[in-house]
Order: sequence, then C-alpha cells, then structure tokens
Amino acid sequence: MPTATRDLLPGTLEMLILQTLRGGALHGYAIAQHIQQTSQDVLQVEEGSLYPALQRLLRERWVTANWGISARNRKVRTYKLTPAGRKQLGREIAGFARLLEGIGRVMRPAES
Amino acid sequence: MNPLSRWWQRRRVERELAAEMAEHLAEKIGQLREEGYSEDEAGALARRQFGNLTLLQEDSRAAWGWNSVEQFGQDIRFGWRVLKKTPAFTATAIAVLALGIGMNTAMFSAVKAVLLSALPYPEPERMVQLNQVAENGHLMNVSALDFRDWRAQSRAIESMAAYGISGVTISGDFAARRARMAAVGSGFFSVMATEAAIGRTFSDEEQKPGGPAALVLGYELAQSVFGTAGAAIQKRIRLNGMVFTVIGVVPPKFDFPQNTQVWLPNDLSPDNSGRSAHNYRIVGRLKPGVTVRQAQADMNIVAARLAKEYVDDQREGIRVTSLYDALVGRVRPALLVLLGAVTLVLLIACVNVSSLLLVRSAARRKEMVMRRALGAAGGRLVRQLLTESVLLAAAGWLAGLTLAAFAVRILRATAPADIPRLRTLAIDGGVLSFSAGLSLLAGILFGVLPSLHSSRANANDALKQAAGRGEGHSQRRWSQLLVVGQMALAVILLSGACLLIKSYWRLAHVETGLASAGVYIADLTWPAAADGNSVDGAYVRRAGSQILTQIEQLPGVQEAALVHGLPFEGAPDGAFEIEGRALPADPHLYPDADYSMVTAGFFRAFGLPILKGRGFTDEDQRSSEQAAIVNTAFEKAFFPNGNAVGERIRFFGFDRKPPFLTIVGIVPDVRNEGLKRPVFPQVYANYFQHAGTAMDASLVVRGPASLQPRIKQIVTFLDRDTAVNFESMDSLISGSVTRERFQTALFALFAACALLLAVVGIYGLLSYTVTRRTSEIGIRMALGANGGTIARYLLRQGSVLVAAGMALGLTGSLLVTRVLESMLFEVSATDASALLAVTGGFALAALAGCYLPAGRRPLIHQKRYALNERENPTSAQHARNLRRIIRYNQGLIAVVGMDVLAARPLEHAGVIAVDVIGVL
Repeated sequence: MPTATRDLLPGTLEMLILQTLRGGALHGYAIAQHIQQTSQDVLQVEEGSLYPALQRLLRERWVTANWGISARNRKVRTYKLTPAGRKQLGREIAGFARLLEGIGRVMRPAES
Repeated sequence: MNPLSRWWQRRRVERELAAEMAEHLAEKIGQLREEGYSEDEAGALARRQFGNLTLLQEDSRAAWGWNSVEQFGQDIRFGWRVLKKTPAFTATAIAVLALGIGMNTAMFSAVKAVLLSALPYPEPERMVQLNQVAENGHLMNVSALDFRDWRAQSRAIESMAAYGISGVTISGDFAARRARMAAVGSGFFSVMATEAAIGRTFSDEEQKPGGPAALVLGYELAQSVFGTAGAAIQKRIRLNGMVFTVIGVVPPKFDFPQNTQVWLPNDLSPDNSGRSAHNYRIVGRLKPGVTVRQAQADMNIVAARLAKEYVDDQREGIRVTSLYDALVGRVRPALLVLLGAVTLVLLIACVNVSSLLLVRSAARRKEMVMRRALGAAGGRLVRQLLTESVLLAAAGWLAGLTLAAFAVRILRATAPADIPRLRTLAIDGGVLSFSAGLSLLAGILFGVLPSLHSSRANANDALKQAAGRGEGHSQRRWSQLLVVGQMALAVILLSGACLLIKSYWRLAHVETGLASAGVYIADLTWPAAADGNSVDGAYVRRAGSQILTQIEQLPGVQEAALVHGLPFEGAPDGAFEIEGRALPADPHLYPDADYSMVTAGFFRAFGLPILKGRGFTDEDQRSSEQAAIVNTAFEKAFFPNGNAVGERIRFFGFDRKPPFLTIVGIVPDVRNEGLKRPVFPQVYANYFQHAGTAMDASLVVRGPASLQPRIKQIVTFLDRDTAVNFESMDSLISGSVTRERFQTALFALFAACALLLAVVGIYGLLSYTVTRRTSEIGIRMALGANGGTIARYLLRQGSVLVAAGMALGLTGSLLVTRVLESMLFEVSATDASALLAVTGGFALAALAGCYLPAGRRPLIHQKRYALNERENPTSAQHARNLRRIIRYNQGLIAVVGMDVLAARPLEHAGVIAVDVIGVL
C-alpha cells in the first residue's frame, strides 16, 4: 500500500532526500520520482511536502541549488549534497537505525 | 547568509520557487501524457495531485521564517486601507486618542521635570537639608551657634554649610533690578560639589569677616546683564548700593537655593541673640553609604547632647530630610493626583475608542465571516485587528505629540513659581518613549475587546444581522458596559474637580480684612550703611518721609506708606512679655505675636479703621515712648477684658534690652498669615521709630496705577540703586494661591475632557442604535408611534445607562476623592453639595447626549397609499400599485397594513392604509 510522505515520521523525508542526493545532483521532480521508484511505490512524495522540505534543507545548508538542464532538456533547479549534508545524513541514518531497532523490539512479541 | 541578507533576497527566492514549481508541474504533465492521458486530463490530474500552488509556495517560504514579518506588513497596509475607507470613524478615534495621549504626555513631562529628574548636583542622593524641629513638628531655621555644634559633632554627615536668603537690588552700569540672594557660609559650594563654570567660588580669605567684597553670579543673570557669562568676571556691581566684584559664575543648571541668582560669602558671626536666633538654613552632604535614616539617628544623638548642655534654650530636635524631599515633597501629592486624573482621561479615551471599534466591528461582521470561511484562523484575525488598533494608536500618538508640545508651552508659561523645577519641563527622549509606550499599551487595551469580539464572528449570527435585525446581543451588551464605564470614570473625575473648584472658590473668597483693590506695592532696599550690615536710621527716616510726602502730593494718590512685614508675605513672629505680668517658666509658653513695622498711612491705605485709641502720628517719631498698634485678635488673646490700650509689651530677640512698646490703638484683623491660615495676634510698630532695624521696606500706595512711573522717578531720584517694580496688592494676594489655582485649573480641564468624552460616548452609542434600528423605528412609527414616543423610548434607554454610570461613578468617587483631602481647603472630601452639583451637571450633560440622537431619529419617508372599498380594485391593480410604490421608494423597508405577498388588502378594513416607509 502506498504511503504518502506526510504520514512519515517527522524528519524522515529530509533523510530520504539527502540519501537520494548522495547519488548525484537531481531536481525536485526527479527526487520525488526516485524515492517513489526505489521504494517500489510504497512511498509517494507529495509536492506539498517536498518543496517545504527542500527549503528547510537549503536553509540548513545541507544542500545547494543550481539552475541546470534536466535529462528531458528542460531548465530545472537541481539540488546537490554539501559536505555538511553528507555528515547530517550519516547522523540521521544512525538515528534511524536506532529507531528501527527500538520499534522492532516493541513489535516482535506481537508477531511471535 | 545572515538573516538580513536572506530577507533582502526573499523576492528572488519567491521567483525561483514559482519557476521551479511550474517546471515541476510541466514535467508531471509530460509524464502523464506519456502514460496516455489526454492533454486536458493530464493537466487536471497533475494540478489535483500538486494541490494549492499558492499555499504550497507559502508553506515553502515559511521554512525561512519570513511569514510573520510579511504578515505584519500586510496587516499594516490592510489596516491603513480600512482606516482610510472610514474617515469619520478614523478622525474621531484619532482625535479622542490624541486628547488622551497628548494630555498624558504633557503631564508626564511635568512630573518628570519636577519629580523624576535627579537634582543637578553630583551624587544628589547624599544631599540633605537639616532643620531644627519644634515639638509641634514645625521645621525651623537654625542659629549659627547650633550649626557650629552640629557640624562639629555629627559623624554621619561629611560636610555642612549654612546660608541665608533675601531679596536684593543689584545695580551698576545697567538698569537696577531685584534678585534673590543667598549669603553662604564657608564650604557651601563644596557641599553642593559644584565648581564655578567660569572664574571661581569664594576663597577662605573672602569667607572671613571683613574679607574682600566678592560675589558669584547665576549664569542667566550674568548673561542677561553682561551679554556673555564670561564678560561678568571682575566686573563691579552694587548690591543695595555696596560695591562687590564678580569672581565667578555658576553653571547654568545650578539652582540652589531655588531661584537664587546672587551668592555672597557669609562669615556666620554669631549674633547677640544666641541659640534662639533661627537665622540660617543648612544643607549637608552625607558620608558615602550613609542613609538619611542613619544620619537622622546620628543627629538625634547630637540633639540630645545639646539639650543636656543648654537646658534653657535648646529643646528642639533636629530633622534630616533628603534635599530631594525638601524640594519637591510638598508638591508631590498634588502632582501624583493630577497624573492619576490624566491617566483616567486616557482610560476613558481608550474605552471610548474601544466602543467605537466595537460598533464598527458589527459593520465588519460580514467581512470577518468571509475571511474565516476562506480559512483565516481566529488568532490571525485578532492579530490583524490588533494591528489596526495599534495603527490608530500610533496616529493618535503623533497627533497627541503635537497637542503635548502646545500644552507644554502653556504649562511652562503658566507654571507657578512655587512648584520647583516645573519651568524646566520639556518633551525629551524619555517623555517621547514613555508616550510611545503608553500609546502602544492604549492601542492594545482598546483593541483587544473589539478584536476578540469580531474574530469570534459566527456565520449564522452574521447572516441574521445581514437581514437587518439590529445589532448582536452580546455586542450591544458590551457597548453598554463600555459606555457605563466611561461615565463612571468621568463622574469620579468630575467629583474631584468640583471639590477642588469649591475649595479654590472658598480660598479665593476668604475675607482678607484688607481693602486691597487699588493698592500697589513695590519692594525697596535702603542703601547699606558704611559697615555693610545695617542701615542708617536717620537716613531712612529722612529719605522715607521725603518719599512719602512727595508721593502723597501727586494728584490722585490717596495714601502712601512704608511697611516691613506685609500681610501674606509671612511677617516674622516673636515671643514677648507683657509689663506687669510674670512670664511662664517654660519659654515655649511665652506669648507670641506677628511683628510688623508700618508708617501711619498703612492703616488708611488698606482701609483699616482705628477701633480704639489712636493711629501713629508724627509726634511718635519725636517721642521716646515707642508706640504699637495691635489687632483685635491680639486683644482677645491677651487682654480678654478689652483694655489693651495703654498696656506695654516687649519683644525678645530684636535687641539685647529691647524697649517696651506702648499699645496706643486697636485695628481690625487681617489674614496676616496667608489665606489658608487663621488670623494670628499682630503687633504693628512704628516704622520710623525702628528705622535702623530693617534694610528693606515695601512701599504701599493707594492711587491710580498710571502714576507708577512718576513714583519710580521720585524713589530713584533719592537712590539710583533702587529698582522699583510695582505689583497690585490683589495680585500679590492671589499670587499666594497660584499653586492651588494651577492644580484646580488642570484638574478641571481633565474633568472637562472626561465629561466631553463620556457624553460623546453615550451620544455615539445612541446614534448608532438609531442607525442600526432604523427599520425597527420605522415599523414602530408606521404602527402609530410618533416622534415623541420614539424620542422617549431612546431617552429611556439612555437614562438607564446614565443612571448606572452615575451610581457607579459616585460610589467610586466616595472611595477615590479621599486622596484629594490634603489639597482641599475647608471642604470635606465627601462634600455633599459638590457631589450633588456633579450629579446634576453630569445628568444634564449626559441626557443632552442622549437627546441629540433621539431628536435626530431617522428621516422616515412615509407615503400613504389609501384605498377605499368603493374603488374596489382588483388584486392585480393592487399589486401594480404596490410595485410602483416600491420602485419609487428605493429604500423600502416595511410595508404594513397589507398582505404583501398577495398584495391584497387585509379583511375588515374600511379604509386600508399602506404605509411605505423608506429611508432617505
């Protein structure tokens, strides 16, 4: 079942965007597409969440934005990970792993 | 990027976001097209998924934290447009606020100048005044002997200096003028911690007896006499004819003792009269870290020690007062009361504007409902409405400042001299920020209720009201409450004003006992004798008689006299003994009377008949027997059997062995101690018989004011160093109550503003009611109510509010006017007649405020469309007629007496009337 990004835990979308950008600079539409495809349509990124999140990342200087040309030969704004963003991604991944582990411990007895 | 440069780049960010999102949308549509959707379908689907573009952009921008600032800007622009759209409302509100804020600003600048400014000397908190204090709490000056002991024995006070003050005539190469002078003991300027601005202060040499004749001038006087203060140094000027050299000029702010412009050295040689000669005032500087209370404890020890040492004549205590309290303590209660009164005026203004806003909020209800329906949060609306009221307050502030600048100029010009430092008031930075803060506070205060009220607007209510059902219930209740509150506050202020006015009226109508109209006074100082400390009695007798004779020869002059110790100016009093009577053992129980010296014409000039015995004659001057005339109060107090004439009395303290005075006559009482105090026993000695004892005199002339230049010539011909400034006795008497007049006038002004605002408040409420209820009133009139009925109906509504406001206000004033008690003269703070006058006056004014809108009920245009059965028109004809009437009366509000839908006359009507009521 697809999950809209607004149902994610706070901050998760930022982490997904940073992770996506690790592979190289992308523009907004491509970021949304990438997350959707990689998650095999489980995660759907709404534009209403994507752009505020991108603005927050810009404000924290974890990404930079530049105008470039997309694969479809359109003038688009592409976002690129900064070194600070890379560090932040590391922190978030570690935090997320701990979170998953915690959730896992709570959920396991119910499963068994 | 710092926040500021981000702010400047926000426009670019906005543009980029918009472009980026448009691109995103295009890409999405492209994708959908590839998936096989038609162009229209793809566009619609993409937009649906994308959501509200504007909202999305706003959310994205919110990430940068600009929204609150941007919204504030929007609110201000929007508020300004709204205010511009209702100029009448805006102008009224700004005028009301300007009145409140302007008067508060002016009053605060006065309070700041008098009470809040530090004394202009270094470490002013260490400065104290020292007095001897009698058993009845009366503060007295100090003798030179006591001062020396205090200075030697005090451990808490670092330094002390003694000084005496007097009036003096200064002359030189310029027109002679009168000035206030202080003769200061050594160390005076170091106690004040003040150096001369130019030149120097007195050296030890100059402080010694017989030292060089030097003086220090005030900055203002030096400037006005010599052009610049610097030019005064080393100039020679004459004081009462004696030549002195100017050695220094004090800084412009130096004003101690109050209003003094000339300082002389004083050697403080103890005079003959010892410790009972209370001649000097004392100023002191505490040691660092010592409080006034500690200094008082220290001086109590000194006083106890001195009392033991000098059992006979040292029973008084010592009082230490901070110099600040000594200076302004007397006027503080009155100023604070005035500040309180003016704050009430502002409060009334706020309530007034608040109710105006409330009324307007009803008119804006549809707007508010619309905005809420479009998604505005309640808090957002409150913020926007509050921004509007703060905007109003800001405009009120600007207008108020203009008013305050004007008021300050008037205050400065009319400031009574006995309110210290009032003339220094100005609108400075402190006052500006105070009034800005006050305005902001006022804006929030008057805005909060209406904005909360509006933001809660509910669509259902609003729709009902759109149908013209009059104002909402809760809004009407609030409006009424606000009007009642305004009236209550106004009644409190008016009660205070009435009490003060009554008190002042009493004071101004005190029977002085003097026929003062047509009498003019000028102060003279005799040239000093060679030793500088006294005057030549023979010279005074000769010159004085000459002056009086020449003046009396002028046509129109009825009488001329010389006086020392004019009534109202605080004649000195002294203890005396009566010949043949044993003095009480306790010196404090010695008989006591005021002592003045007058020439024979004094009694005739002031219309005082000799009741018994005789007046002064020229014979007295040649006789060795010294004559005295006493007042009725004296005779009553000391000779209750009424046989004072022929008795002899002797004052202490004027001479070592003073001669006896023989009482030769009795005159009626005059208010010798001032208007506020009861008549005191009075002894008049013959001026010429004591000519050597006083350096100055008041010249009293009963005659036309036009002769004053001639009289001036006569006096200055004899002594060119004399400045003669005439003042009428009446203005001298009323001058003794200028402070009372000043505070009464201010309070009355505030109360008048309060009354005006309260009346405008109730007028506004009722006019608004009339406007909102036009249809209701129209229907009532159509149903047979005439203008009178409607007016009575409105008046009844108004008078309920007036009665409530008055009841509340009178209760409040009974509680509050008590603070006025110390300012009242022979009027109780709960004076029934004053409160009755307030009640009556207020009721009249308020009902007038009610009557105006009631009389100005809406113009109701009536058309009587009469039909009778004989014509028997068909329904279709009725309908046609009715439609015509409706078209003709564009503002049709009610059709009564007819079944409108069927346009058919009601049954049982012989003659059927259709009243079409339209509002013009």
